Parts: sequence; structure tokens; C-alpha cells
Amino acid sequence: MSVQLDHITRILPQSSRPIVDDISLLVPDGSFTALVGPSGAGKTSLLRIIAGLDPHQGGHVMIDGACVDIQDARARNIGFVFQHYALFAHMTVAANIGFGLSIRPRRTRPGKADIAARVADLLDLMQLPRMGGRYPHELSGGQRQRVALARALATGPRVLLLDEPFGALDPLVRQQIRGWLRDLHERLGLTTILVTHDRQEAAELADTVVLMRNGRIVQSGPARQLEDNPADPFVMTFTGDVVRIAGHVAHGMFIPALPDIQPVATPTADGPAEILIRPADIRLLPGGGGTHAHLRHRRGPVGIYETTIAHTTFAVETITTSDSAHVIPDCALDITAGRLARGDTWLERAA
Amino acid sequence: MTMRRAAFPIRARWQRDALPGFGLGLGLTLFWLGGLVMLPMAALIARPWGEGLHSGLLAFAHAAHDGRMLSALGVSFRSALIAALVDLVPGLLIAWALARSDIPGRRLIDMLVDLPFALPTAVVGITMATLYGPNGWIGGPLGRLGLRIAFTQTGIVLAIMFVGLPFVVRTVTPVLRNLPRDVEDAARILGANRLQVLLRVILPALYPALVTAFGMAFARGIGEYGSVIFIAGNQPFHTEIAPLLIVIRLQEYDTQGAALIGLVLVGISLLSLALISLLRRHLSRGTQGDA
Repeated sequence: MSVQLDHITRILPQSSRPIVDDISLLVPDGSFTALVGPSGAGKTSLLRIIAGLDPHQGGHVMIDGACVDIQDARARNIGFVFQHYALFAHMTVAANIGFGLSIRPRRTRPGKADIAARVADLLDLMQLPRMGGRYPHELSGGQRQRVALARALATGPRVLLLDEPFGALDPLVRQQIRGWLRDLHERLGLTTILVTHDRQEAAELADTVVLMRNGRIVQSGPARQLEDNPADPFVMTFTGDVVRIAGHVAHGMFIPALPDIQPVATPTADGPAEILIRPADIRLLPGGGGTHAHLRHRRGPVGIYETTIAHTTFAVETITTSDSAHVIPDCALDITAGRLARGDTWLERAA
Repeated sequence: MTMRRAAFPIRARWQRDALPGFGLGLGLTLFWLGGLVMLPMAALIARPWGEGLHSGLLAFAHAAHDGRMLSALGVSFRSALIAALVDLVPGLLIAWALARSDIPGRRLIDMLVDLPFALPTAVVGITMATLYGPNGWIGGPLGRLGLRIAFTQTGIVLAIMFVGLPFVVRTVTPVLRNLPRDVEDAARILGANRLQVLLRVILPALYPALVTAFGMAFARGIGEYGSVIFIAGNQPFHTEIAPLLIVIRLQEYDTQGAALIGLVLVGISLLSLALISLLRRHLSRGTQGDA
């Protein structure tokens, strides 16, 4: 089922700034979308609005083409996994998973045996065999997360919303559960929206990454596109490592404030500016300047050279071979591959 | 080998404890507990046998047939039980208002809840007797409707309820406040209506606290004296409570009889508290640690 947001706005009573500000977004049926951004960007609020847990003041939420604005959360049949699992502590794992089915009105409620069978299936699917009789506090974090997921899936929702579900897990478990979640998404044909502040997690899991800031969508698209064609300096900083080099533009040239960095030609107007560049895009020009670059470490074919210019240390990633020099003397930095910015927007791209 | 094994954990625990002077503190506490609680209890248990085994047994045999004492014990336990049970309802509502709502005067209510703790119980008793008496503000109109509260067991229950209410509020409020809100959201999203959220998610999480609150209000109610005697009317066999009968026996210089009632009171109280704590442990099996 597709989820469509049409100019959604939510304003908290006490504050003047909307926490969700005029957001429109289409999540196609069967897609995996990640909402990323710094804390306070409105990601979780947006997710709660889609689920019907929080009200919104403007716009419409459409699920499968039908407007659900006046539908209560309980009527939307959406699976939701909370950041801190939100398991019912006084119920066994089996009772937790079966909760959504057991509270249905008598007419539509499956029989006890059917519920038990469904719970057993889900426990298998979540790789939690023989855990049905345990209580949540007896499980590890990763197991609790899977119980929460099983509970969300028990009622057969077609839309799954995940609110930073891996935040509290250790990195190894996180890695495992990620791959397995993506697999589950494919297998069950779900439409999944994931909130996370981890850009790698988003890039790895989602088809579409939606980057949010201050309640608005800054850019959305495949992770690769956000990395390679960031809409503004914020997107670029958020989607990968960035080196910022301050300077100013004069007579069609960007002049870096630091020595030993080569100027870059640009057609923009004179004034202060800075260049943002990924460490892998910086080139070392041997013999072009007066700084020395030292090979700090090497991981496979990628080596990292460090060079210090006027107390600022730059790390430069390059492809190295076993006979690469440990010190490259008298070099300069070439930053032509970077992007020129003034304030929060790009200037005409460096030629 | 075995000695090292045995010695090591003890030393390790001493070193790990954050509380300074824990050993000394524990010793003193146990000493005071012994002096203040266990010693009087031992005296109470020993008292009926003070005039010899035969006399003690005779006293017990008498007591078993002493209708006045049995009905006084009955009144005390029945009233305390009803009062503690009924207290759970307003107690839970007040706790809810304090923990969840933003009603005006919340701080004032918060303060007023503790008032029954602070008031001398006799003041409570006199106030209630005045309010609910045949000519009182509430007792008068109710009396014309044919409802009598003062000098009946209803009056006793009301007095005990007043004293027991803070126990419920103070026990339930923090638990309710710490109940994660996302658990309720989760239930809603899974399709639960408001009643189902309340009955299947919130109340079960509160059961251990409610049982604890009930136990405390009940224990307090059994021993309640000052606030009850003014409103109870104190008719033997009808509205006479056990603590009052102890005082009456003492005034009659019947210390053995008084101690006997005390002993029965203590025995049943301990048994009730043990049952309550058993029930609480059973209910809180899903949550870690105590509740």
C-alpha cells in the first residue's frame, strides 16, 4: 500500500515553529523509505502522524489512495515498532505478539488455536524459537526488538513504520538485524518507512532516503544521489565525510585562506565563500607547493595521507600501492572536485 | 582451597559496597529493629502465658467463646478490608489526575492528599462525627433520606477510608508516572480501544502497586483507633472495634485479655500481609525486581 503525504503541517501548542512544516511525500507501494536527519528534524513526528498517533493541523495523509485523516490509529492497520520496543512487560512474549489479534471484537477475532498458530509462525519467522513463554525482561535487546516487530506484523499490516528501531542495539546485532529486516520487507511485500539518524543504515536499507531538517524535507532520492549530488551544503555534510576550506572569491577565482591549496576558477561574484569536498576527491600535487604529506595508514588499496597546513590537518584518501612513498614532499592540494558554497547554498559550480 | 573460595566473595562484596559504614549501619539497624519491634512482639506473645501455661490456655479457651471479642475483631477486619478495597477507586483516580492530567490546582491536591497523614487521628474522628452525625452537614440530609452513617459500620468504613487513601495515592502515582507512554500508543496502534488500553495494558501494570497500596491501607485500617471511635458509636457486638476493646480491657485491669486480643490482631495482620506480598510477587512476575 502506498503512503502519500500532502502538505502535512503540525504545530505544537506551545511553540511557534512547526515541528512538521508543509511536507509532501509519496512512498510507493512496496518501497523501503528512510527518513533521516539530525534530532529535532521532525522525523519521528512525521511517522507518528502517518500512524495516527499525533494529529496534524494541515494537509492530508493518504494510505492506498484513501484519506485517513479522520481515522483513529487503531483503524489504520499499520505496524509500528517503537524506539524502546514498548513491549507489554506483564505479558509473555506470546501474549505480546498475539495482543493485536486477541483484542479484536468477537466477530472478527480468530480462535485461540488460530492465534497460537499465528504466534508460533511469527516466532519462527523472527528466529525466536521456544521464546513464547518468556517475559520481555528475560530477553536480550535484539530479541526484544524482534518480538516488537513480530507484534507489529501479527495483524498483517501492509505498511510498517519503524522509529529508530536499532538505536539501542550493539553494532554487531544491528548489522545482523538490518540484513534480516530488508529480507523480511521483500518477503512480506511491505511498504516500510524507517526513521533513523544513521546515514549508513539508511543507505544500506532504503531505496529512497528522505533527508529532513527543521521539519522540512531537504532532499530525497536514492542514497547515492544524495551523496553525489547534494542539494545544499547541509545534505553534503550529512551524507558523508566533508572537508571545508574557507576562502574568498575574487576576479573569477576562489582563493583559499590557507597556503598550498590551489585556487579554483569560478564564474561567481566576489565575496567570502568556502569549498566543501570529500576527502577522497582531494588530490595531492607533488612539487606544486610547500607542504609535506605523510602516509598515516593504509586499508587495502586505500591509503590516507595527512598534511598540516597552518595548523589545520587534512586527510587525503588516495589509491596507493605497496611502493607508494611514505612522505610526499613539497606538494599542494587540488580541490577542483569540491563544491563552492556561500552560507547555506551552493554557488555556481567550480569549473 | 575451600577457605580461599569462601573468603573471597565476602571481601569482594565489602569492597564493592558504595554505602560507607554499611556493616556498622546494618548492625545498628538490626539492633533497633530487634529492640523496637521484635522485643515488644515477644512480650506480647509471652504475656497471655504470664500467669502460667494453664491460665494461658484457659484464657484462650475463654476468648474462643467470647462473642464480644470475636465480633470486635470481625468489625475491625471487615471494615478495614472494605475500606481498603473501596479506597483503591478514588485513590487510583487521584493518582491519575496527579500523574497524567494538567488540572488546575494540581499542586494543591498533591498537598491535600497527605493531610490524613499529618492530622491527629482524633481530629479526623471528631470532624467526621460532626459531618456525618445526625445533625451534621452531610449526616442530616442523608438521615432524612433514611441513610445513617454515624454510629454504624458504614461510618467506621468511611473513617478508615479517609486515613487509608494517601497510601493508595502515594503508592500508585509514581508507578503511573513511570509507565511508558509508548506502551499505550503501541496498544492503540494494534487496534485496542480506550477501555482495552486501560484494562489490558495500564491496569495490569499497576496491579502490583495497587496490591501494595491495598496492603498498606488495610494494615493501617486494622490498627486505626482515634478516627474511628468518635463516629463508630462503639456498641459492643455491633460497632465496637478491636483496638477499642483492648483499651477497655486495659481499663478493666485485664491485661491478659488485652494482650490476647492484641495477639490475635497481630497474628491475623501478619498472615494478611504475607498473603498480600505473595499475591504481589505473583502479579509482578513480568516486571523486573520489585514493584
